Amino acid sequence: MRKLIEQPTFDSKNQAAAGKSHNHESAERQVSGQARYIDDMPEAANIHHVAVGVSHVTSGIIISVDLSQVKTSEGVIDVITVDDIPGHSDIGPVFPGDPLLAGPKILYHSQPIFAVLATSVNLARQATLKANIIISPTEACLSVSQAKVQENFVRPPHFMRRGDFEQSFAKSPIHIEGELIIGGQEHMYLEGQVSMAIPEEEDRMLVYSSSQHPSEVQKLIAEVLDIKLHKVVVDMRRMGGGFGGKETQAAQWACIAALFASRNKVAVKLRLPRMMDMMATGKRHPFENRFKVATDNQGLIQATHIDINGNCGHSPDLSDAIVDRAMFHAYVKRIRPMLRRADRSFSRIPCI
Amino acid sequence: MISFLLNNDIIHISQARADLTLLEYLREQKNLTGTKEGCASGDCGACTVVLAEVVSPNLQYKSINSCVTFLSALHGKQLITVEHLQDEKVLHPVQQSLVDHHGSQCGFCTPGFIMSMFALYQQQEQPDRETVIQALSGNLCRCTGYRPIIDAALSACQNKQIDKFEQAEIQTAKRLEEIKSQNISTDNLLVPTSRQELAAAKAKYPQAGIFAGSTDLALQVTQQLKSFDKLIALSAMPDLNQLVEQELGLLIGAALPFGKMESSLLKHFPELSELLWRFAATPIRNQASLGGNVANGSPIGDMPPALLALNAVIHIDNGLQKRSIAASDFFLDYRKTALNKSEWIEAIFIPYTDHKNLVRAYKVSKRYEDDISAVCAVFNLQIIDGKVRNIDAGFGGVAAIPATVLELNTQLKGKSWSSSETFDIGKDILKQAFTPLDDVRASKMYRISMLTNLWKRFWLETNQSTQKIATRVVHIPLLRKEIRHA
Repeated sequence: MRKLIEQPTFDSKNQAAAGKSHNHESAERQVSGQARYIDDMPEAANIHHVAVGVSHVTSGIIISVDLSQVKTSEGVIDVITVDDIPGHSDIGPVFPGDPLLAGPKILYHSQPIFAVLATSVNLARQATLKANIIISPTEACLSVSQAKVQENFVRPPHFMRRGDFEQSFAKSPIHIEGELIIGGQEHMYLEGQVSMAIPEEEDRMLVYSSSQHPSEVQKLIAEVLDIKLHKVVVDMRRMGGGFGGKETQAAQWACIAALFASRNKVAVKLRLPRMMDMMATGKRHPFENRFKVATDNQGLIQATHIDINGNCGHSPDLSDAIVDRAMFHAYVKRIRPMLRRADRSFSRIPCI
Repeated sequence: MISFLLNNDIIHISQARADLTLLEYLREQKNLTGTKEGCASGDCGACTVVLAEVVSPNLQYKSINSCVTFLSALHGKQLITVEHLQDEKVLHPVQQSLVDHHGSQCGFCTPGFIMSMFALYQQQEQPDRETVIQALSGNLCRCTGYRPIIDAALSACQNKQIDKFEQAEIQTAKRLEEIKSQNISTDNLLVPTSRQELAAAKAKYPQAGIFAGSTDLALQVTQQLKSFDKLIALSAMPDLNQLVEQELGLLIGAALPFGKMESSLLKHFPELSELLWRFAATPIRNQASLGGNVANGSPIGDMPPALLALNAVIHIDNGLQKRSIAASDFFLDYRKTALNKSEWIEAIFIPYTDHKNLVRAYKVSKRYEDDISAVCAVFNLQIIDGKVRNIDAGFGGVAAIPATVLELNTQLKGKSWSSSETFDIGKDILKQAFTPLDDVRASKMYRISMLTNLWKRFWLETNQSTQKIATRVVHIPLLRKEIRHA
């Protein structure tokens, strides 16, 4: 807030490209507390609440899962693990690799291992603390450099080439090399991940999901429940922010809520507490990029090579598109306007 | 029985879960879902509501975070939520202004911003931009950006009209006076009104949580999922809620919210103003107390370093016997203090400094107004004839407890303050003084570097010859204003 220029250079009340401002269509409801988000909706009678139990180990193999005390905890109705999923247990959006619930491998810190359905939010969350899970830890691969040594890639490398980089580089008198490391980012939507599932006639399911991709949520729920796609309706009226963090990351919670609703024939709500949300959901990619540039004596670029390394976390998720896009943007924006004749080569490696 | 006005309705509560937060109460029991949960830890402000309290004959409006508030805080007050601001179908001026300035996008943070703006609207006739920023400091927005929101607040507050709250003020104050009862306690939430009652409550329920503003204790409930069968609130303890400007110093009741003692504290210690604004955002300071900040024994709590540097004295009571100990003897080990199980902090005494004392308080943190320090440093220096007569200091974030460094005083006493040799000796002492932790907030090396850099800033700022060197990046008009007043 304090980094803003003190006095605005324009009157934000009246400025508009076409000379006329229109208020946000929901503005009046937002400022008066009437704009309805999923957690604000009237709840069905006898609605139950979900909390997830997660791994406190970053990488490992599950040795044993003892949930007996979770099951007998106050208010608990149902408990599920990966073994209780009737259909697909992998909800990877493009490629496989994203288990709904962990087992037997632990792929990341705070990966959900089980979920609890209870009569209240607090009772569900408190019950998750009573699990006794033994995990044998394995070494975690956390950096691009580590992943490169291990050749631990979630997707194969891609290359773009034009001209002969090696030859132009060797011929040029001035060489510059460097690296650019960009940290990862939490999406930080103000409304955390939330889903509400309501079982309908036969095996139909109505799911309210704070998702940027409701049709994918619909498909994944149908696959997890092993029912036809047309039996699942996903409703998404308003999100309290997503910023990409609810594109694929919202599906897991919608699927778990739907699974409980289907098993117990009750309305179910799953709302992640903020800290769990920040720990258990994927982030924007950190990048560790390297470049080599050669110029002539006037400083005109003769050859460039850019290595774009996206740290994609444990699974492909959407990383193929994201790291490709980083490569395309670097090509178009950074290099092309500088010199038309330069020889370029790019490689892009999505690492674990 | 806790009695309050929920918007316009009188509510009496005699039975409730002790650790029920105000946010849960509003959303789950009253279906007032305009108030949102963003973080449940007092960081994002999506849950901001306003409490109106009688300060005869008027009402005083304060924004608070409902997610870290227990119900006893409501007693005798009007709780105003976002649903209640509009008058029939006409939006409140702060609401209309945010609509007109295009200050919402996803809208999830909006009710919280509206309530912070509303509290400001009721307090200030003509706030300036800095005052608006401070009033909004507890609210995070992720899509719109802050400029249209600040503009909206400025515009509404600078063109103030009489609203329905002002029209009903006298009547509301009268209604609030009528519902105040003597016995506030509910079955699980005890609100003692004398030291005997407090001692008895502590003896009867040794496991009960004890709180003033609850901004720290509530985190055990919302973040660590701990449940308390019984809680003891200190909000009705007369001695713990008073502020006395004594002859030799300021006596601050342990349970008094910062919002109620800041003006007195700054009158006598204007150099603490930056630390105070940065201590926490406005809604937290409207609840949090100095006693809580000391009693929780946090290694980082931002006031303990100031109390150490200013040679404060902690007044302790157990209902039968009172005792006083120096702040420097209070912190024993990580989260361990000199308080016995039966005791509580009654008040904190801060001796006035001589006008020749050079006091500076520095905080290094990521977020400006509402964050835990990576490093906090407070210096209190006395110079006579250019030579160091005495130097006291307090540091946070560098050890298991808020700590002082006695060597600064013993080694620098008598040395010329303007000499760079003095600066170097101090720097070497501070470099060796602590072995801080590496954690998510800052690395060990960063903390040590900050410590010596803050020492350098202090030395530069307090040396006449070098005063022209810019030692600050952020311009803080209020800091200057406060010091000028003093």
